[in-house]
Amino acid sequence: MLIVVGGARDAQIDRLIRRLGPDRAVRMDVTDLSATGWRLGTDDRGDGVVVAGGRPLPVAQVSGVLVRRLAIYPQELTHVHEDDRAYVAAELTAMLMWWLTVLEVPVLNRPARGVLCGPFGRPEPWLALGAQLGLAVVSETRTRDLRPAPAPPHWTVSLVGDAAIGTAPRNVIAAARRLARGAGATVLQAAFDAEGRLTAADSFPPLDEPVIDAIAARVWKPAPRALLAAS
Amino acid sequence: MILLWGVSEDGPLRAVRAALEARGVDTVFVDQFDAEGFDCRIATAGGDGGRLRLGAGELDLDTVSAVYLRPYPGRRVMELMEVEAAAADRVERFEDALLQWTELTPALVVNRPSAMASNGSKPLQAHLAERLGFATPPTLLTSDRDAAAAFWAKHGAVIYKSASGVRSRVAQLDAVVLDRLCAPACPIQLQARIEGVDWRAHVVGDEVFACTVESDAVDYRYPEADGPRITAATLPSAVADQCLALARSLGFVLSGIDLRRTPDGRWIFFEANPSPGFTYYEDATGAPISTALADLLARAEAPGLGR
Repeated sequence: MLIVVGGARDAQIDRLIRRLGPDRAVRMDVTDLSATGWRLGTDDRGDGVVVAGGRPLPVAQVSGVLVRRLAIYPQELTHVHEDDRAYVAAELTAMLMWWLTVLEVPVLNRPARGVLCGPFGRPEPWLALGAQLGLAVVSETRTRDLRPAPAPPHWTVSLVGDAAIGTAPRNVIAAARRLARGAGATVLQAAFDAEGRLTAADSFPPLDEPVIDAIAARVWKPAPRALLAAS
Repeated sequence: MILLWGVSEDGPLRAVRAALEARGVDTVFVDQFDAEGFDCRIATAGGDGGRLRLGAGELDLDTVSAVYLRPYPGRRVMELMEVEAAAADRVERFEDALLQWTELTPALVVNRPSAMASNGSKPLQAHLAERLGFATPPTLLTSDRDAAAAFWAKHGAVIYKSASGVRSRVAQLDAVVLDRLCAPACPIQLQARIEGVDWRAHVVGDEVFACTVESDAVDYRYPEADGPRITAATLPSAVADQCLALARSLGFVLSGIDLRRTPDGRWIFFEANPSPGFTYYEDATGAPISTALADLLARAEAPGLGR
């Protein structure tokens, strides 16, 4: 089972579940995180239980996780008393941060630097990393009252591992791959202007069919024994 | 130039500032109580040319060689000062921009926000510590009453505490708390209670300052009667080396690592605090933590100079 950690009303997740089928993919939203039945421990690591799609799911049945959020936010927790929302949001984020790090199946992308879907939680470190890697990047001035929004992209590239999705010149795709490798990101969306300069990046590509298929191939890649049998 | 950021009454910031000024090192203090008039100008991809405006004065951020930051949530500080909402918004945006700069600057930063984030998940930190050879308490995160009861039965005495960086009082699990698990808002973190003596190890660069903390309370920060007895002590070199390795791997220049030594001589890791209130321990033991941190900050070279 592929678990998609994301918002209850995220239509992109609906699309993924429709394409893969409800027997292969399930959403984990904030009501699941607050439900009874969670059991994650250090005594018997392989014997845990999570809650997804409204029902308990043994960790042993989890084939992979796609992460579509940076954190759990207090304002999402409308089922929790207002006074407790900030605390509960921090606790749920902390639990996922741990579980998604130690889980021994593909997690796209693993937590890093305090966000559930790494490697970065905001756009600026992507640009800074791009500049460090020698990519052409658009860098603008930011002040207290001025936070420039990225210009509409000329090219957008989605990456899932080695699979590049999107129509862009080879040098732009190569730049996106270099950024992903430098960041240690399996899943990435990178935007470029007409001159091929990086303008923005994040870990949340739109879940179009080719992206979903690439994610599925990453999660259910043939086991080594199957590859040997086929050769 | 050393940049200090927080509130001027904060103990560790005040101690480090005094130690730096005693050495004649130039400092600039970004006091959150004065932040209404502050602004900064930085590049979204990092790099040179940043400026920090503090009221009438302006600072070239390329001349900053080191930063020690202990900011309180800006919104909370503004609430205390009863400033209007629009001004609080401006302060929040200023602090967000400055925080971004501390992430991207090549100056020495104690500690970078992205490194401090590991403290947001205690079980994650424990996992990272285990990979470096530390033992950690058996732990269960659960919203399943039966699983909690089984864990309690297995380990005898069990405590519960927050899994996140939100400060909570460590307390012993009892039947009342167990029954609350029938309708939880979130899973609870349970740990087998470990008997022994608490140790706090402050790691400052390559130096370790350790002390023991003896108390009858489950959580020594909340004593029922007498406060804890804090005594300077020396860690076995292997444990001190583990603390140094952990601080390095977490990206901490300064940290306060909580350990417990069991009666049978095992060392158990609890957590590594990336923004420790070390003056509490320094005042009790005389360990020169603030001067060690000041020395470390003063040794850093400004990345924008000498080009």
